[in-house]
Amino acid sequence: MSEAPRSEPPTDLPPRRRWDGSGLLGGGLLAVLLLGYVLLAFLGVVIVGALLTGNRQIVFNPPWWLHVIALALVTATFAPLRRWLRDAIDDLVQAQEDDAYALVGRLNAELQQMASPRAALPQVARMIATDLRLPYVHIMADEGLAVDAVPATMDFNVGQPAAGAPLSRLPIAYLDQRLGLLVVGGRAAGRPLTQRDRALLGDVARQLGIALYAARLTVDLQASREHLVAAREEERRRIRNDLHDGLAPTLSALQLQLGAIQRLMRGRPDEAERLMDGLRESLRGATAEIRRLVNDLRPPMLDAFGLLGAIRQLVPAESDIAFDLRAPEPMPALPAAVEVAAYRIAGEAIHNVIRHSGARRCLLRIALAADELGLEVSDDGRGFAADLPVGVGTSSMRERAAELGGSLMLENDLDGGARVLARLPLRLAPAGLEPPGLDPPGLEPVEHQQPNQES
Amino acid sequence: MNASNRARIAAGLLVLSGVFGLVSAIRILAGGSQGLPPLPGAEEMGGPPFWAGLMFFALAVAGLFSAFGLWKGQRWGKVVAIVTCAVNAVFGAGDVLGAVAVGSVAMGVVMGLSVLVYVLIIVLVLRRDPVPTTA
Repeated sequence: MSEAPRSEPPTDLPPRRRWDGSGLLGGGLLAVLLLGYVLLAFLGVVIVGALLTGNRQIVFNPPWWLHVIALALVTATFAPLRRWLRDAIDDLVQAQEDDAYALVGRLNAELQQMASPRAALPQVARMIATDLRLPYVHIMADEGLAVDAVPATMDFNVGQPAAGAPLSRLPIAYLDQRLGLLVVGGRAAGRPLTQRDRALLGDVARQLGIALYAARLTVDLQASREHLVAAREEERRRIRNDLHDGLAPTLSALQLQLGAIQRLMRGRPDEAERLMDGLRESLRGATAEIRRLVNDLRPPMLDAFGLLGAIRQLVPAESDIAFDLRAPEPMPALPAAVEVAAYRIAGEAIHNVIRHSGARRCLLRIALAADELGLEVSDDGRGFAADLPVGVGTSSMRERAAELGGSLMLENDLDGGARVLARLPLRLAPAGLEPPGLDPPGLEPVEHQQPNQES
Repeated sequence: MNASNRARIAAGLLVLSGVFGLVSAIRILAGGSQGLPPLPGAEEMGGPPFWAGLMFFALAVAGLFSAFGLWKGQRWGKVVAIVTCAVNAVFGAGDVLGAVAVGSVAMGVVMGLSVLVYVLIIVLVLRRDPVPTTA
């Protein structure tokens, strides 16, 4: 959670918290019960005394020693009884409203209407403090990734903790993600929350978890959209620069050369022919430049040979390493983005094996499940160093997997060697636009392993 | 036993004691302004007066009313039940005292039991759930 928490100033509880009559009600109940206890104790002592002595008349005029016994009994038991009654009555009159889940309903309504968690959480904290008659409520919540990719934390306080009162902490979570923390202070010193309070606060925390998770998804989605737009614009800028700085001057030069040739053709044909040789070289360069631009957009190998063929082309013909490619054949049609990502990751991994691993064998395995493609590149080399710095190649592989919502794992095998495992989701297109040939959803992952030795 | 079960047991006991109190009150009220005749052997003490019948009637109705609130888990039900039971317990103890004075064992046992029931109801209503060890 939180770097740079942005804490809001503590908010006072609403005024009705202080003058809601609960103190008067509790005091009245306590007085009634203690008075009743004193009377009962005295009457009980007199009754027992009359029964034990067999003198029924003492009930009309109890002797002094019965008064003393009754006084001693009351004195000995009054303080602990008063303490027990006070705590029990406090719980009764200060606990949440009769319909405890009205709070959850109101909370739900508040969260549904919220423009953002930052706007709704202060009201939610106040609602919890008021309804549960708690002196202190503190909500810390993860706001998700901000535009600068730094997790931001919201921090709201209502009221102040009662002196000596214990604090209870309830995690705010959804699925396996911890999204924040709900901290509430007990009502008095030495009195933790009741089981009923905790059950209700648990439900409140769950509601908050769902709302915060949804809000976080919204923030992440927005960030992702912005990232996509930025990436698209960046790509356009790069292509524009390549065309402007590379191809355009070349074509201008060709135009000038053509003009010169035209002028020299009749008077100085030898010179014109020499210029035409230069023109041919320039055209070859322009063609290569165009090919480079096109290759950068999508590896042509993929269109020419398909994913498996393109990966085979990555393996050097002459190498000390025995490469083994295992994959389902024929490979079904895959989303273009997955093909490119798999091809680039495989290329980088093979490059690393050749350059750094010292391996003798390398296994490339592609497995298809209903909704993801797994690419594994493992070798029997020296494995990753413990202090391996994160290089450009590794970052690039991770980014390519993450861009599609997949993952990349680098690890050392127990038997030695390194393993790169990429998981790329296949369901990138909207529903109904999935590429043909994929297994329908719900099927168990199927790993086709047809040995296909490559060297 | 959880709080809901305790409240329902207390409500059941309140209904029983409320019906019992209602019958007793109606018997006293049926005696008119003279109240009931005194118990045998307690002629000098006199029987329960008419106002006692009115009070028992009100307490019995309050007890039944609070039983409904308790059954529904309402806070007002708990408050009314506590007050009703406290008053009933004190009056019941007074009746036990009277029963001892006139030597009426049956009345003493019945009223003694009713006092215990009222105290039990108060304990059931006020008893708190055990606090978890970790805060």
